[in-house]
Amino acid sequence: MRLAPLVLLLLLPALLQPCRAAAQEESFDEELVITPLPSGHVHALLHFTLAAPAARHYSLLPKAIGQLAAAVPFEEHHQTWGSPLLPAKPTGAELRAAFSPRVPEAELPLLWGNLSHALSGLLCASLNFLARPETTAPQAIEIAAASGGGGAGGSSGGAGDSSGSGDGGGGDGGGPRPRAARLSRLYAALPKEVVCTENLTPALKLLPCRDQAGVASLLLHRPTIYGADYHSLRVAIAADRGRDGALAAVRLSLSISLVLRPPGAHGGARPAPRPRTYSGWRLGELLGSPLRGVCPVATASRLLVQLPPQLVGGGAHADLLRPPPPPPSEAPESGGAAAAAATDGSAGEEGQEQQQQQQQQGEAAGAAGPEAGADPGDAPEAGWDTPVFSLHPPPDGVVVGSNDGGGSSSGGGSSGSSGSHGSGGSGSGGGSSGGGPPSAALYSYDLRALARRHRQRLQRRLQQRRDAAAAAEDEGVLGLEFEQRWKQYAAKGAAVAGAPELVVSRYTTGAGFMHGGIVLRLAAGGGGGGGGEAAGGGEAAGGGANRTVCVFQAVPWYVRVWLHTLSLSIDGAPADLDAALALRRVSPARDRAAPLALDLCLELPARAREAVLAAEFSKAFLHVFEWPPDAHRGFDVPAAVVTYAAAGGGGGAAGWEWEWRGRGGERGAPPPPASPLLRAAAAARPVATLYSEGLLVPLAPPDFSMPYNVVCLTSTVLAVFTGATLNALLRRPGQELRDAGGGGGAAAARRKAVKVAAVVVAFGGVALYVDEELREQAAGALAALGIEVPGLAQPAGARPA
Amino acid sequence: MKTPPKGQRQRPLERLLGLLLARADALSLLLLAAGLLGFAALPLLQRRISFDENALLAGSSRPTIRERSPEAFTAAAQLAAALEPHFRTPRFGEQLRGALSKAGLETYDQPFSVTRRGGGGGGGELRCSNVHAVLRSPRGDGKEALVLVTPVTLQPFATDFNQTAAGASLAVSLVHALLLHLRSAPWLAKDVIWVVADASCGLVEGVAAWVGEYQQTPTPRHVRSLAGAAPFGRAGVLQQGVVVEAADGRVGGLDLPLPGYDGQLPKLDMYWLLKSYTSGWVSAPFAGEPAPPPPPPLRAAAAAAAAAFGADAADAEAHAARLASMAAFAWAQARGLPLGAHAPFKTAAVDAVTLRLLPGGGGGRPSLDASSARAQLAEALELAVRSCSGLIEKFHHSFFLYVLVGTRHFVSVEQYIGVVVAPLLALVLQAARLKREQDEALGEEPPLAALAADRAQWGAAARRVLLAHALCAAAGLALREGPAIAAAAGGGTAALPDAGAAVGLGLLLALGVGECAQLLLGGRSDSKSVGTSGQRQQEQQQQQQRAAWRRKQAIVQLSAAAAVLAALACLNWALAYAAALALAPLAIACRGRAGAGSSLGRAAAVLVWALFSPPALLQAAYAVSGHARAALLQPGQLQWLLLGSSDAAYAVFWGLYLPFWALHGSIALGGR
Repeated sequence: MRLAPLVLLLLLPALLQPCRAAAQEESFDEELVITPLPSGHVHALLHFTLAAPAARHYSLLPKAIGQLAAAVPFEEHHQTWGSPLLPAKPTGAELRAAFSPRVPEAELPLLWGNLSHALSGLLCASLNFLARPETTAPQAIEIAAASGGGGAGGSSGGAGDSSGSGDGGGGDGGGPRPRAARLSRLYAALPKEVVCTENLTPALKLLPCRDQAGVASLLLHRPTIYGADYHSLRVAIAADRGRDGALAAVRLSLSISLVLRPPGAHGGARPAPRPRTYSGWRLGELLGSPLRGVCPVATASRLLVQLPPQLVGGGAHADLLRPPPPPPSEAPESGGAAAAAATDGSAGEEGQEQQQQQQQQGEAAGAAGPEAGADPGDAPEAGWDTPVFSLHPPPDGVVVGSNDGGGSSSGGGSSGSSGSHGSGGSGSGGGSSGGGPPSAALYSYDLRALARRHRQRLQRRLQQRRDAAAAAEDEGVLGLEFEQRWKQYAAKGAAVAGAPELVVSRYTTGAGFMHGGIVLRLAAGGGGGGGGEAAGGGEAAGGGANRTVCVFQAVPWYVRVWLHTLSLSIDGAPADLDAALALRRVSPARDRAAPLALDLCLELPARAREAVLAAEFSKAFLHVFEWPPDAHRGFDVPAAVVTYAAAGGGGGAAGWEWEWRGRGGERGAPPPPASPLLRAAAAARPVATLYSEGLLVPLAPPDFSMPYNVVCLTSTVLAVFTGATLNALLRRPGQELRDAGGGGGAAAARRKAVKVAAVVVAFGGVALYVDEELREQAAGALAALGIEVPGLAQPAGARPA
Repeated sequence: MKTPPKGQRQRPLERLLGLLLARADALSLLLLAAGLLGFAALPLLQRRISFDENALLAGSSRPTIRERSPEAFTAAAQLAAALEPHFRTPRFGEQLRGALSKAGLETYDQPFSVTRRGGGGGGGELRCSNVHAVLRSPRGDGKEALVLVTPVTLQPFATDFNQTAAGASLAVSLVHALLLHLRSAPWLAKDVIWVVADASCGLVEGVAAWVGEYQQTPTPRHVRSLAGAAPFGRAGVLQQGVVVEAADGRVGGLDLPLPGYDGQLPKLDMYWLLKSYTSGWVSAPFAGEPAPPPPPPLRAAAAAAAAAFGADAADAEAHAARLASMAAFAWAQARGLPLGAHAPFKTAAVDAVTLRLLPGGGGGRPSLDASSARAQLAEALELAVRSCSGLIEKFHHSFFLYVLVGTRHFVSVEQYIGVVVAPLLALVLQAARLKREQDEALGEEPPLAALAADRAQWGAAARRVLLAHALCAAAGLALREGPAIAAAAGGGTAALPDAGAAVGLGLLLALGVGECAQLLLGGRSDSKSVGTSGQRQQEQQQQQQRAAWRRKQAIVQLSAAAAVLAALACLNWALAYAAALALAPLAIACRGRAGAGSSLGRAAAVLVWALFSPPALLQAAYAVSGHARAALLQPGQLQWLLLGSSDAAYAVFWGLYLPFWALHGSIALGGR
């Protein structure tokens, strides 16, 4: 199970950095990536991308998103939530937005509030709680690829930024470097938010086909989705703006990530998979719901099956990187062009087909395999048998990725101006196809072509037999069933080839309700092995340099971190934190107004095996009414976000570079339209982002059952105790006698009056100091009398609204 | 006080206080009697234990491990068979780690060392290593964890836990089966940590080292974690824990020993959860069920009381049995020694209990064999884990201050605290009475000079009391740290630790001898004082002054004792009760008789002084606790004999009782 971060590492950046090339026309791409994990689980990533130019009329992109993009001048924003199987992902919900630097800082809270409220309504989540200032933290430092800044294309432009210019010019001067954020980034997290189907349903409503057709139809069986070991939902909206700030394009991407247990042999609850194996899967059974064709309006619909990195490198399984030979009967499709041509014509037809199939589904419940009785022309192609696994049906081709940055060509596409990303990427990719050794491989299926072929087969069969019953017992819903069976690693031997470079763990120390410590531990991962030998060599080459790791941590104000106790130790020995800091932005917490935002970039020695950041904190005492429901559970501290330059970046900006190997033997860039997922992964690759675990900090809860009784009792006891003690301390023997006997009545009375006045003034002052409402009332009363006391009213005004 | 008030304006409260103080001795005796009789009557107030925390949903689910994961038991049986021949060899740990990683669990090691106190055999530094595994719950958020602990003697040696190979393999295979099942349990919301604590260095010490490392909190002085920078898997906030302590492979009974350090107890619901699940799913008898008959003297007393008051003899005997069981529980608390390995969890605010599997085979009682015990215990533990896993909030709706009366009834704090307060009040009353006498002796309208002299006397009294405290603390420190100092200085031969004890004893004796010498000399000078009337008057004045000074010391001492005991009652009520019961009669008896000045009174005071001297009291305590013989037989255990048990007991004894004893003895014998 620990092995899964690898995959997340590979793919998450793709989601965090959506590509912002301005779309020329509306598009809807749906993609599904299936990855068998070495823990025996299967990871499924559903990725949907909707893009629309900033035209007056658009049909695919939801109006709400377009309006949101128009109303709020943000550049991009992501929202994600889920529950972690692994310590690599945050729990709960997080919302981050990057606003254009032209937006005045004073307007940010308002825009942020609008944004969070709008998204809260769109996704049925409690994101509106994030609008409060005490939860929102600015993220001042970003770690970015040397040439990545230019990828923003038509937006405000990296060149105009003072801090970014050096990196942009340097090109291959080094890996990604931390720098001051170009955009005003805001971050807030709801660590306790639970994601459920009430969030998924509105999210799916943003898609043109919802969950009725296409890749999203795999999500129909919600118990499987939410019974998964891990699930997360990301919504990313990116607005591209021209140099004048006008909206150029809006891109919405939605991705759902699931880590599933393969279903057991005899139904029922899914058993825990056996570790160190790769599990076989059948798509429909894995997700509990069959794939219902493709969405008719999709411009691309693709299924990718990832080859575990263990099998990619080293050359031992080089034949796996070659696609199966083309089938004898059918000519190899040059998928892209044909699919694009078919798009317009067959959309309506497919829609009808779709409906038919849905009707038939009730009768033909069981999804049968390839039918034996059909004649050879009709029979779907037999699966692809390799010594390691069998894949059915055979894939259209293999996308081989390499991240050996060596040349400058990889950056060529992204560093150019806007709009050229797609073509530029493909061109340069084709040029440098022989570049580096492969470190990732994905088998690709064009679902649209498969569906069309299948429909043709179906129609042919219908014409031949003219038998509706035969059609009904055809291969379930469109027959789009995919299956992978493992021959070699089904029993044992699966390994994490490229163990995560960095393992982040975070925990609290100490016990009790008063003080504690918070510790963030960064440990170098498995080390050798890498993505292959060459990648390992790259690591060794980069090993001479220090590793830059940026840590972003927002801590709620009621966990009062003592910054002077912040200490760093490397490999168990204390180290100088100030010397290790490359960049630092700290915005201190204010009670009930702002969280502590720690943004630290550390230069860690290359040889360091682990680095530990530790700080102590005190726990604040909250008012009775500041406690959330289930108060005794404690308070959650959002996950820390750790970003660092991924390995392979030693030689320069190393994005993924994808190479397409089709069945017909053609090589080159992925067929157009290029996959947005792969493109995004390529753009974001040099920077890896990790999340630490969430933290639970128990605070001292008051007695909620009868707060007023407790307050009254405590106050009374304290008053009696204080009075008695003061009396005992101040009274002298014989004082009473002296008081009673001597002393003029007037003098005694004056003394007494002075005492009373002193007590009233002292306690009145304390009351005013402690009680904000009383202060307001007093200020009001004084104002009514015509006396303005600015000092009294000021603190009340400074309260957060 | 019946005399009319001196001042015109005596307030009612003062009058009431005056009335009380005039009868201070009688009232003190009354309070003392109330404290004793109240304790005897506490079982009348017992309540049945029931669940306070509804969220535990106890009893609403059935175990699923047998039907869902039959293969877990096969795997566990295989593991048990594989482990058993390698007991106390390194292969045991290797095979265990292999099985854990095969099951997909993260495994971590934590070496630690323990310095055994008490010279003789088994002293010196021992090195052990805990093993723990983390099962990440598939659907949880990883912020909370439950802990299962199985103490196993992993090293070739053993100290205080005599485990057989069958016991070790039973404990390990039991939890292994459970974890294999929990891997696919859909309801598991919290991570589960399984700690195989190395009990070779001590049952409690292994767990203490592990908890200290997990929370990064200080461990007991003699336990040192050596984990260093090695990875140590954590899983969020520890919430609840269960320690399964299996000494033997055959299970003849179950026990849940509750008191931890300083008599601190886990939540009552935690006890009751384990109690009800094990009663329901494990067919082994529970220790203390049915209640054992009371000891013969108590039974005779009960019978006599029943005959005297015409009550039912059976009822009286049942009451006596409950009283005996409650007193045993309170005594275990008062001793302050942890009874189970769950004690260190309490310091980390984790609710934990120890489930002790009593070895079977004795007395012809039926006992469970390993395989059925494994299955039944796994079922009970599964339910306990399930209940704890379902808690959203921290476990807070339950008693943690209680005294068990038998296995199904308890007396809660608001009922037993009165019993503690009564003797404490007697102490306060005595102090107040002394203060009043002092005020009266001072006269109605003291001149300023007298006031100043009085103040100086108060200061001197307080100084003297502080000095005595410091001396006694030094004696205690020398006794306790002596072995360590000696070991550090002299290479640690077996004789040196005892030297520390000898030094401490010497200091103690010097203090006592000094006091006695002062008394005797003072007494002789008193008796010799025959002279002129002027001299006599002067001497009388001196004597009065000395008496006043001693009285002030006593006031300071008594007030301090009462305050410290009141504070102690919050920590360990049973110890405070015992100390108050010992101090109150001393305060009443010694002062009163000494005032009389008769030879009989003086003899009684000496007797009390001797009987209540610390060595005598400790001897009595150890005779009661059954450790006396062992301690006496091994000279190396001398310090244990002298030092009492827990830290709090230790501090109270050396810091409070001992100086009080010394000073009060001086007052009793010499204060005329």
